[in-house]
Amino acid sequence: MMSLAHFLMKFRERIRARYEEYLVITIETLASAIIGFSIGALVLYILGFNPAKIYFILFSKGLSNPNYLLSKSTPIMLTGLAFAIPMLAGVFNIGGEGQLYIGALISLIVVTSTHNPALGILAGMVAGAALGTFKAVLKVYRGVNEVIAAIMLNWVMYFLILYLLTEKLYNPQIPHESIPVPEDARLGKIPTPIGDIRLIFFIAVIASLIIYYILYYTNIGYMLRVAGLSPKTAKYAGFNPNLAIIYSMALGGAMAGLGGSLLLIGYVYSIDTTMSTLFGLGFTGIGVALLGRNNPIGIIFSAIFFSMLIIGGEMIELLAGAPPELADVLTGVIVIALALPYMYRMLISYMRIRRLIKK
Amino acid sequence: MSEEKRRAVEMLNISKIYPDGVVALRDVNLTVYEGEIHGLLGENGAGKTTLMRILYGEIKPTKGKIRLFGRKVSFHGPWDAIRHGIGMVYQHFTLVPTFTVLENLHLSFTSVEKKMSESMIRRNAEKLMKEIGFEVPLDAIVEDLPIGVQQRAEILKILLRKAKILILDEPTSVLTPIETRELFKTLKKLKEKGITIIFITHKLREVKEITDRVTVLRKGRLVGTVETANVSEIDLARMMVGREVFLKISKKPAKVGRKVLETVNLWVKDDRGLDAVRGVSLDLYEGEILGIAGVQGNGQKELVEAIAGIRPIIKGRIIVDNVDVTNKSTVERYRLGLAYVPDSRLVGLVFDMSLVENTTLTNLHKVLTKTKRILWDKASEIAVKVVKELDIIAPSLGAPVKYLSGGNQQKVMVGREIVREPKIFIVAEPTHGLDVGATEFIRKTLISLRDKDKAILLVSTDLDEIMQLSDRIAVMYEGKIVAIGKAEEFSVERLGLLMGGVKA
Amino acid sequence: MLRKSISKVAALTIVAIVIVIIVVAAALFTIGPAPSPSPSPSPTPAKKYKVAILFDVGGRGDLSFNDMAWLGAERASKELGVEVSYLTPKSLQDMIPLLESLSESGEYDILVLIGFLWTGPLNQTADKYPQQKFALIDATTGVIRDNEVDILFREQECASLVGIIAAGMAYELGGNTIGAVAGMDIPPLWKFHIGYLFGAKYFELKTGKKVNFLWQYTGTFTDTQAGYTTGMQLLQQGAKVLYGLAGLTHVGMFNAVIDWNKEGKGKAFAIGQDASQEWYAPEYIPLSGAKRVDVAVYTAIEMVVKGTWKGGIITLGLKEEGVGIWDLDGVEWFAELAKETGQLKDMTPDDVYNTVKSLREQYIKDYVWDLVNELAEKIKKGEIAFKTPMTHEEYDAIISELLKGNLNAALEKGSVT
Repeated sequence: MMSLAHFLMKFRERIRARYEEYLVITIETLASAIIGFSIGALVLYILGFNPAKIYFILFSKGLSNPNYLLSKSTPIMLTGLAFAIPMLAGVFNIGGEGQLYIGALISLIVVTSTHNPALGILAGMVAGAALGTFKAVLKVYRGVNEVIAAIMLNWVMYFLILYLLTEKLYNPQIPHESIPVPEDARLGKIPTPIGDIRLIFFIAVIASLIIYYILYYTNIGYMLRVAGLSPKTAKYAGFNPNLAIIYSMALGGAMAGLGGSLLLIGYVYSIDTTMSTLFGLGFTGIGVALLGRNNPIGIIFSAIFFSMLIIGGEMIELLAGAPPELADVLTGVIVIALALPYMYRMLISYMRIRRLIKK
Repeated sequence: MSEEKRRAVEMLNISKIYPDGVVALRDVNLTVYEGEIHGLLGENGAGKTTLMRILYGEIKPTKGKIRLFGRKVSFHGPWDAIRHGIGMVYQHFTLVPTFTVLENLHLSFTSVEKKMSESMIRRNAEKLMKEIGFEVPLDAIVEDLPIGVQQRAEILKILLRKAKILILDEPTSVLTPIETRELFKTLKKLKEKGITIIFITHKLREVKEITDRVTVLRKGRLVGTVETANVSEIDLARMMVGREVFLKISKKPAKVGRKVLETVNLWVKDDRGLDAVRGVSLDLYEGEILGIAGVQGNGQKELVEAIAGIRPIIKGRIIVDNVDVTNKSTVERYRLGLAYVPDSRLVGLVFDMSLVENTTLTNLHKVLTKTKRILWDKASEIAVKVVKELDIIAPSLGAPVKYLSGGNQQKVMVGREIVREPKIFIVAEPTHGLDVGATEFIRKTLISLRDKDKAILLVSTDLDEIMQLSDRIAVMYEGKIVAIGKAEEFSVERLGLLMGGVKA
Repeated sequence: MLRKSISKVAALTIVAIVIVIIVVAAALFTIGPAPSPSPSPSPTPAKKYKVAILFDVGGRGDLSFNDMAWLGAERASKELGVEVSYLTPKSLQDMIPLLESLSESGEYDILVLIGFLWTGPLNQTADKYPQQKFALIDATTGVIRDNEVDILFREQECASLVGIIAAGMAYELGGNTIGAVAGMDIPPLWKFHIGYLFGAKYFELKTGKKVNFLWQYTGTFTDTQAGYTTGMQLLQQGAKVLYGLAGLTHVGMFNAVIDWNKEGKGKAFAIGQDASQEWYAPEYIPLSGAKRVDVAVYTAIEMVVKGTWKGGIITLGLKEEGVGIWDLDGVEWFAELAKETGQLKDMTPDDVYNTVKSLREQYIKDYVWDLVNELAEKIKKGEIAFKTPMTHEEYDAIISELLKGNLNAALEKGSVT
């Protein structure tokens, strides 16, 4: 009890120390969301839909099933981290997609042969980390642009899985699906006041908290952030910026791999041959990370928010007759609105120059 | 020069203030006559290059007017300037290294005139080369050519576009003496052809040798424009470095102790792969300030980075307190008692991080647990100590340092080293861009460190600073120590000449 | 400094919010509410049935599977007076929660699920909601339930007719090789393979003319580039007619055939499948096999409305008009749909109709139609029926027997001689 009180006190101190920064971020994020939703409303109105009705469906349906909401947020929370961690170290990891694929694949293979979910998850993380590290090593020692490497490797992973699914790992009973995760190795649900929630969500949240701890309370995280904000300063302080790139990509890859294996072991249990189970989760993670401002805690909430938009978006078509792409448009508008704070900043620096000239 | 000469360039009351509040130029006037070679002289940071980039349309002036041959112009970008007959040769050439010279010439036309065919360009180029009397192999790959020839290709590129005004930014800094002589011959030919040349330099001898008139800038302000024939190198040196000394700092005589830092025949390359430090041997003793004077870009930065272990060395040894650290990492050197305050706050600080996070940068080992956890409470204590000791004004310990003033940022960089209590301070440009108060504070701090028997290696392009603080002075020119001795042995004039490459 | 910038950010934020709110409010209230999408429905005495069509991942706009499902549902809405809503899931893992929430709501008399991806999710939810009726189109859970109808197609029947015509056309084009660009190696494709090969061998048997048969899986239903490359490979191997059995992938195959003709490398034709795809390039696509997802959807809805609902598996074949070859009216109808969505550009639906008509007259000879009709009759009368392989081994065995010329190996019932 004492330690908890102590922890809360420290936390409050920390919040207070960075109070103004957090205030700015909160105001900006809220404002962006409001502006995004307002522009979305205009778009809806122009297209002939009733914005109030659409938003009502979006929120009420999006939030109606907590288990669905939180389960769906799990993989994108982790691919969000997979983008955010390297971003903090100054690397643009759009390979979360491929890292998620390989994580799902390897953990499927491990878990079907060992029937041990923990081992499967570990293997998935290691696989994702290995793929991330590979890209980092290419970048650091061979000068390969990480974006290009990631795009190529995403497709390599995509077709590798597709090949294995259609040729080796398919379920003889349901050929359009992979062999399922054995019943005894599946992760279940935990009873909570809001209903049974899948265990994987809690694992993802714990992972986010651990990443937060690593980034803000350990030397590796510190080194990584310094290198990301200013590689020259990192060199000056005696940190190796290349090492920071490698660590961040390994850590990010591990998170995407974790996302893939949790999705598989705790949610879908098998991959379908159209890849609809996995496809796009890595890219959604980029949006999640941006909305969460690359902060692991922020990413938890932004993943849930995105998940709500996706779930509610599906129901818009059914209940309002709107095209299914509408939800994607709304998501896009909101993410773009988040770029507005940078406009504010530019405006402020512009005003500062005017003042200096007058002097 | 007679007043009837046409004015090719007139820049009136040019000011440039950057968004972060740095004043690069303030009310500068420049007049260049048609067909003259006009020198633009000044120390680094004087604003020479900024002024020329404004003329070339690359930077928009915050205030001021430009006239070309009497007509008012305003450029949206270099392409506008090119259309008006202005060409600029940068220190770093703008040629595609894997293309041939001819392909590069062709490429440069695509932005101006689309219709030129390669054979037409070849014919024009050959004709032009015959007229001016220099030779560039048109079909050679650029990266295979010596630097001097690449520079000629660059000039050829500009002349082909019918440029009437040619700007050269420190053209001799990359050339050998023979290549320099060749270049000067070419420039004189161009002058005969009626081309106006603006020649940016900090080398006094070159000014005397090649220019007709010279404009001197200091710290973003105009010092004056003079006819070269009427002034001596000493006059120019005085104009360039300035005479006024704003601050008087009293200091006790130095009590020199044992040797704590030694470099032996150090060779270091710069980012371009050229030799920047060429065989520097220095000794530094406890309780003294050794000032290294020199115009920026003469190897000082590379020297101190090599000592700190940030930049690899080609040859030589570095010894810190009797330990050979040549092959040791930066962190190990810091632990042996070396402290380095870099010349740029962009290098020393992470602007988006808090004061605490920034003071932790070089104090990380003190706040880590065995499990590599950072104890932020302890880090805050260090930050508080830095703030108290150097009287830093900050909104809070948690606010990003970008919200601190330049002086306070500088204090953070110096302060976090002081609390580490190292034996050796390597301090580069500690007062660059600071106001008078902050400057005085930092300088006094350095003196008090020296009085506490610390060894201080001070690198500065500010001669006042060197003169005020140093017990001994070394002058660096083109990667070498050209003079070293007790501070009393140097006058401002002598320093100015040495920095300009004149033996004195 | 910091405080100032915060207050500035706050001020700007508030200004921006206020502006947006004013604009939105003005749009909403000054101009009036958005036009209500449906006028008040005319009072119907009978109970209005509510139907939800749950598409495959990807949804409308494919001018094929999902669009045909839509077509069947719209027909049901007109002819049977049901109220239809649609939904496009994002991925496999969304399917179970969607089925659960729609079943729990009890709003819909029937949920019609389009495509095989729904198989697993349906299997896991159907028992939990015995009151909710489900129809699964073009797939089966393999479990018989009172509240679930699985509607399958006898693809072999239409593919066998296509096989005969393809072989006949190849001879008119001066060759004897026919080919197919297939999607993934999964059971529905096995059935196509068997039928198509059977048709080719039937042609061989009846006319004594040799037919060279090429079959290539691309492993994807979505990659047009793969379709193009595979199509080109088959054309280079001498194929004169290519059958597209790979969804979006075989649009790439169409392009390969178009380029092949336009670059003067030879004359070759393509055949579409599922929807009528002649409109895509009427000069080069004289034919499409029909898989009438619309009929299946309509059939499922009709069972609910007319009270003939009975759980189990239904297969639709030539007899039920669930599969077949698109007639010229169907060709024109899809050309019109393509025109409406802007995908048919330089032609009118009439042009498509006329081009295809003359192409068929020129390249599909009467003796070929005779063979087609003869086989179709046998199938419709139930004299012969095709096997449906349950395992890959079984499928491989049938194909290898067919290649040897043993046509009866593909038949469950009856025989051909």
